[in-house]
Amino acid sequence: MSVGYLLGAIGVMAAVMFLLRATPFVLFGLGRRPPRAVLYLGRVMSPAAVAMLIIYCMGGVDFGVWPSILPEAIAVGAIVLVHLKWRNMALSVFGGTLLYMLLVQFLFRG
Amino acid sequence: MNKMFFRSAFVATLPVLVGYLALGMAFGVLFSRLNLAVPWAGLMSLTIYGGSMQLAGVSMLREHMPLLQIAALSVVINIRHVVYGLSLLGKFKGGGWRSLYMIFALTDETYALLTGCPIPHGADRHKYMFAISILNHSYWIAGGLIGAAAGTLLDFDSTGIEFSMTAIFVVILTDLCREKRNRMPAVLGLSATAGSFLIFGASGMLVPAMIAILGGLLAMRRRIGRLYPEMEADE
Repeated sequence: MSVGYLLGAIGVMAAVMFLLRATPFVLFGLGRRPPRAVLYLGRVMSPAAVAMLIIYCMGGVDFGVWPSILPEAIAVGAIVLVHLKWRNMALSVFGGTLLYMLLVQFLFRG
Repeated sequence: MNKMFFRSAFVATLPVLVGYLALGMAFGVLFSRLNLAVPWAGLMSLTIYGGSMQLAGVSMLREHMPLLQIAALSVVINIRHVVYGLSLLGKFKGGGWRSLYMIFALTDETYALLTGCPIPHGADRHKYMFAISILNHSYWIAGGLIGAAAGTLLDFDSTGIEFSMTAIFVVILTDLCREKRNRMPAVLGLSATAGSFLIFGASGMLVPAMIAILGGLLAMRRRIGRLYPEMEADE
């Protein structure tokens, strides 16, 4: 892989990321007050967007094959329970990932 | 005073520290399979700074994908970022160069922290949010470098480490749903995305899901909007 290609590819990804992140500020940030509907969306979108990302992250799961969703389902359930009980984000994220890795590496090897 | 707000920013980012080290390492380990020098992983984490983008970016580099195609795919993968800034228009206002950096560094997790956690009493709003942003960014870079180095040096089975990304979002959503009024948007997000996944499949699900979510939220504006009375006082 040439250095030129690497720099170009990384540059393109970085530029796209920044442009997407900057879009609302360019559209509404120049002193103009955004429309009320836009403010409303900004306030309520967070839970919907995070919910979307969870499904998106699991997009690789084959829902057609029954046991293939089990590691995800077990790990997600465990994370929710552990987090509701202890409210410790680090414990929940780390423990959940570890549990998932153990499940897919040992119990559900495909 | 300065030290105090920095410490509370650090405490607020602790969960992201764990998540980003794990996810950054997942990226780094994946990256190491490209057989490139470790600093390239650091450059990606420094300049791109996006988990799903960088994980997908590794496969793009491996396939030697043409730049135009990389650009198009990057837009699709990250289109959700277009809407994040909407929640922070007011908060970032007047932050100068700090705001410019915070816009660049607006990842999923930083967005969740900046919109979710209260600013400590007496702290400068922009400095506090800037501290959160730059701390998260540094965790991410560190995780990527550690993962890339470990992947080059050691040979261990990292299968499943990418689940840390899911885990972070599950935890964030669990916290959001402690507040009753957030549950309806959450259910809408889950069902719209699941429906979109069933219809369009894994690769095409994001854009239709986002349209459905925005449409659904707007359609239910009267019902949901009532649950957020402080909106009227906003700005």
